[in-house]
Amino acid sequence: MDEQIKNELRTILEEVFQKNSQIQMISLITPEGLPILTLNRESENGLSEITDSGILNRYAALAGASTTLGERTLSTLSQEKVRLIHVQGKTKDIAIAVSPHLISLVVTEPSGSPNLIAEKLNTELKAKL
Amino acid sequence: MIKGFDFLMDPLQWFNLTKEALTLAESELDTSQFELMILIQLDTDLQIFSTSKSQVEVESAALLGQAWRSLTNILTNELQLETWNSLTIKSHSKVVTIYSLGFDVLLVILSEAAVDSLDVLKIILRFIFQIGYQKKYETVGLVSSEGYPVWLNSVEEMDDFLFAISITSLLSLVERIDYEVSAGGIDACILQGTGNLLLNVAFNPSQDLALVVTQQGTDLDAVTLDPELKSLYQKIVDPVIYSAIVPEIIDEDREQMLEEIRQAFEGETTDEEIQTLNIFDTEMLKSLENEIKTVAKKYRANEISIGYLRRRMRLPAEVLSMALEYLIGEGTISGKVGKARKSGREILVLDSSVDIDKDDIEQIKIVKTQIGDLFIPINPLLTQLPSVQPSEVAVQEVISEALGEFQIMLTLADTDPLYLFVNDLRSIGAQLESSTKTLNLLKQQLSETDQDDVLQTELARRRGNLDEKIFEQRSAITGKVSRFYIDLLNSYRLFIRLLPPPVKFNRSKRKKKVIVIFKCSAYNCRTTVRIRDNSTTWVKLSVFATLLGIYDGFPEKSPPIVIKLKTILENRLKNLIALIEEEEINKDFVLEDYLFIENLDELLITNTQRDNAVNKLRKARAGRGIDKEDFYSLFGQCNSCNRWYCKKHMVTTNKCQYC
Repeated sequence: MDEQIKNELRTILEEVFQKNSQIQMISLITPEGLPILTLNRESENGLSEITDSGILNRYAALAGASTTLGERTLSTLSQEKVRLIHVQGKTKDIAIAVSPHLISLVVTEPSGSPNLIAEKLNTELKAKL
Repeated sequence: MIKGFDFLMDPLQWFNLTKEALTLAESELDTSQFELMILIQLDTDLQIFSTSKSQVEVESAALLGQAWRSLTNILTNELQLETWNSLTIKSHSKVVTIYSLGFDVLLVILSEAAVDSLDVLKIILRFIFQIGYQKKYETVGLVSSEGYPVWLNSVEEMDDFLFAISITSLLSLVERIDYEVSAGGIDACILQGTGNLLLNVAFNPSQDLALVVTQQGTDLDAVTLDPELKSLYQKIVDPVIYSAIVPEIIDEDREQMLEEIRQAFEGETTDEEIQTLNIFDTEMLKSLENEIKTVAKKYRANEISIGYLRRRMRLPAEVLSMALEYLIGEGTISGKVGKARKSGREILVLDSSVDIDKDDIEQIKIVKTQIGDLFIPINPLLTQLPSVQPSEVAVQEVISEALGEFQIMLTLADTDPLYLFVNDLRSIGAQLESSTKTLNLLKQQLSETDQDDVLQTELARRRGNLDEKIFEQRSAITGKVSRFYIDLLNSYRLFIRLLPPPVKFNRSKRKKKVIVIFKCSAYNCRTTVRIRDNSTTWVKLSVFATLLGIYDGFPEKSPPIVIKLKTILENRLKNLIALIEEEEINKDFVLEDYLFIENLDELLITNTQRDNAVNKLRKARAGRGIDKEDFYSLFGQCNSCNRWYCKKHMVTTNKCQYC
């Protein structure tokens, strides 16, 4: 991906992190399953970019598996595709928003509304991608 | 009957709702097992309801309420119990269970000691949804974590088994997300479709049941659960009470409906597809029949666990169930598939058992040893499964859980669907080829008939149609190839969780084989395992580990046979990526650019190759036979960097000392 676009995305994500203290991690993935950018909140409130391909690939695989498995569920009930998966965990909440141009994976503290953040990101970043 | 409560219920409404539900539940229960079923609301105005069979005086009920209150106070104050759900008192033959159903409503059940009153609660929950929430939710279903439907209420006609199967996909997903993101256990999962469908799956504390509600809309509140419902549902912790013996009389309507849904059900294997899979062949059916007969004979068993057969035969659930259906239908095996009444496990119930003699007893001993062998090796499985905590769980449980999860990994790494995909692509490729030939003929005719206006127009019209058709075929191929590429990468991501990519290939004296070398990823470590094997699987694994950036590069100085295969694979990949990256479908194209789709399956690892590779590693020994450990016991995979390390360089079972 173009370095300039990546920088712009980073700036946007940093702002989102700043506004929402409950966010722990955001990972942006292309619909084909390739990692774009992943930012993680460190304990001392700084942000770091995850560059380890092993970890990035795992998140990408998770996004891929989520879409496929989610679609299997929806296909018995209706012919819809997956737009959002929101998993409420005991220590973390996770949301995966799927749109034609982007998959966002957002991890927050419990009740941190990652679903709203992920969907908003997908809408906002549409123009950039 | 009460229809459609307001959703903010008051205590009296709740009492009436539970009352209706209990009355309906009574008709579904074997009432001879229950002596007493009453509802008490400990409100200022004491409410009592007893079922048709139970006769309870108001005074006794009030006394019971008082006793409950005192007990609650003692337990919460003295023993600091935070919440308080149920109380069970057992005698030798009877048991009294009191459940707190919310809004101060108590359900008191007196039954035979062997009866599990959670059954009652499950049925009541179903009727509460059916009566009180039919307007609020379009579909409500209770599914066990093993993927069996407990019950389903739906406004649309829907097969409960298919519904449960579809929810199982979601359960696998939730499990995976929990594991990857360390979410500490999951309470709920909300799924939103691109249209209006909302779906909420709530889990009970023991994660053995999933309550699913769906509704149309965009507001997530449409699928939230009222606190009373949630609290009632969370009391039902046992997944295995449900009993559903498959009816002996075939329900034709249901079969037909199942068939139709199966055909329309994208992503799941249909009968036709199943038949094209290599696994569903006479050899498999024969060996399944032998397995069943052996177990039946050797153990004089007339009930065989389906889970056991699935593991033993290494078959996906769907395939096994169809194979059993077939064997029973053909009369090869006499029996039926159902669920154990107490445990709820799916079992094959055979009609008759065979007497055993001395030889058989001797044989039983041998088979027992063999079955023991099935559980070897345990260590490698444990290293793959960070969620299993050997210190906290009984060993037997760890083993079966580990085997189950390893089986899940194998199932996830199933490449049969990808082979079907390649077949699809081949067939579109063949259509494209024939369209192109026709187009070339037309072009020739057009150039030869430039004087006849009518013919010229007709030919031009046909050419236009053909151009359009070719364009559609090419778009279909590009779309499918992109999808294939994603699935291909995902399948290799899973393979790398099962199989380590080699660090080196050496020549072997035997033709067609190479020596494959695996080494601990720590820089200075010399722990090495070698196997002699066909190079195919391992070369593919190395090429993809490099492509995915998990390994730095393809092993250098490899023998010619390896280099040759590597070059072929890389060329296929190059063609594939070139097609995906083609910016737009231009008018002029070369048919040769599409010919590679004929051989796309060369990029895949078959299930047999996958199983052979796992077996090779299980048999591989380090050193010169002194060390009895196999590859999986010696090595573990780090979950952060996906590399394999020897035990010395692993801090825990799933973390290397460098991550």
